[in-house]
Amino acid sequence: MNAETRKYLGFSSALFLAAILQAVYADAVRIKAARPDFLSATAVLCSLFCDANGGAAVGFLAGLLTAVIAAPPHAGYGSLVVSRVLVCSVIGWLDDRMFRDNYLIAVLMAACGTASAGALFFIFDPEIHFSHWAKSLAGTILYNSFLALPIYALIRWLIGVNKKGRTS
Amino acid sequence: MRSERTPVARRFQAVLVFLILGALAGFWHNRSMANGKPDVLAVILRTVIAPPARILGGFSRWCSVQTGWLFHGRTLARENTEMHARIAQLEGDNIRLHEAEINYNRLRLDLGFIQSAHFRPLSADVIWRRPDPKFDTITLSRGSSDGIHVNSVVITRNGLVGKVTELTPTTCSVLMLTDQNSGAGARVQRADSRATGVCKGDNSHLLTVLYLPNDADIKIGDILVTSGLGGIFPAGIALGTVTEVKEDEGNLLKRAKVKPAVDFDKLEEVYILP
Repeated sequence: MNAETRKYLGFSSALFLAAILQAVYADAVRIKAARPDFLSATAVLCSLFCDANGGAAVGFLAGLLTAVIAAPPHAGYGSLVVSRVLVCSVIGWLDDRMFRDNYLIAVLMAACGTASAGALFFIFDPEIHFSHWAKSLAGTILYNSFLALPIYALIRWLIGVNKKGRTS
Repeated sequence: MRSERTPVARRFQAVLVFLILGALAGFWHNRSMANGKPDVLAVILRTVIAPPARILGGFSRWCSVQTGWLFHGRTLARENTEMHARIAQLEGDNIRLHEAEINYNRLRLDLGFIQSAHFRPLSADVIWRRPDPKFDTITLSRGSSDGIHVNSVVITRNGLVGKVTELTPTTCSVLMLTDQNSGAGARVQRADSRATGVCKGDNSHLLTVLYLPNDADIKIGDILVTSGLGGIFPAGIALGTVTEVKEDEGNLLKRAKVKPAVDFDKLEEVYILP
């Protein structure tokens, strides 16, 4: 199996695992309005290892999985997918523009990516209660920032990145 | 200029393709739902995710039961005391209601009514709950193979949970009453009021009753039940208790805040009226 195939198999596995965790634990580990968004965090962190096109593919799968497990009919199914594709492809596009294989960058990108995905979704599909949405998003950003470290480590392990940042 | 644009378009070719696919997926999903048909892609993905989610959820619940006393000892003792008081009160209520039921059945027979509509609720486990903070949805362990259909009503012993919105053969997705896209006809249960409105969610812990006429007789503590108007929810299912009443701008209508009868955070088993 070549490195590229292994990488995208690793991303798919991580996203499916994130979808299962999202389904089972997202509400159970809620603190006030703060809930984790395993899928967004995983997609954003996978995109750190991609270019813009790879990021778009990761975002597409993440958005689709989020929509399938969470979205009721006529309530932003397509918007979820499109917002994730946009965010992940932008993160992928930053490929050559920033140093990426770093845990601090992972935390930062998880926070920024979650915020951007939430904001884009709000623009596509505005909600009635802005304050409720804002509180919930702020909580999710905090949660995802904490989750970024273990998720990032898992992704690195799944796609076989060694300590020097090279894929095996 | 053209020679500069082409490489950029090529470079982001897959991004454009996935954006279009995303929009098409949304369009396709909404169209399938509007036609009452299942979205094949969603059914496949949900069928893949549901079994491991169910196993993991069951395992987590088992762990929670086995170790819960470690974390909830004090809470359990307090709840136990409250439960004893509540049971004593409910036993008294039960005796009175039993008497009322006997009278009711006698009068019903006297009038020659035939009880034609028997609800046969189907129990279902909650596989996952509110996977995304933006949507108040749950997924249950029953699907189209169990005779469930879109708009089947989901209840608990305490009251209304919501309605089925999507189906796979083995699971169904339920839009809970607390979601902002949800709504049910509501009526004040008090015999001298019977005011009606529309009960809607806003993704918070409270419900809102809208479109109450300004002269509607509704007050704090009133119990609300479904009105049966709208044709989806049968009449008489508990919705909640009124906690606040206020007049809308212009004083033409009233609105009320309602504490739901169902604790949506602790749903584990529900009943579906197929």
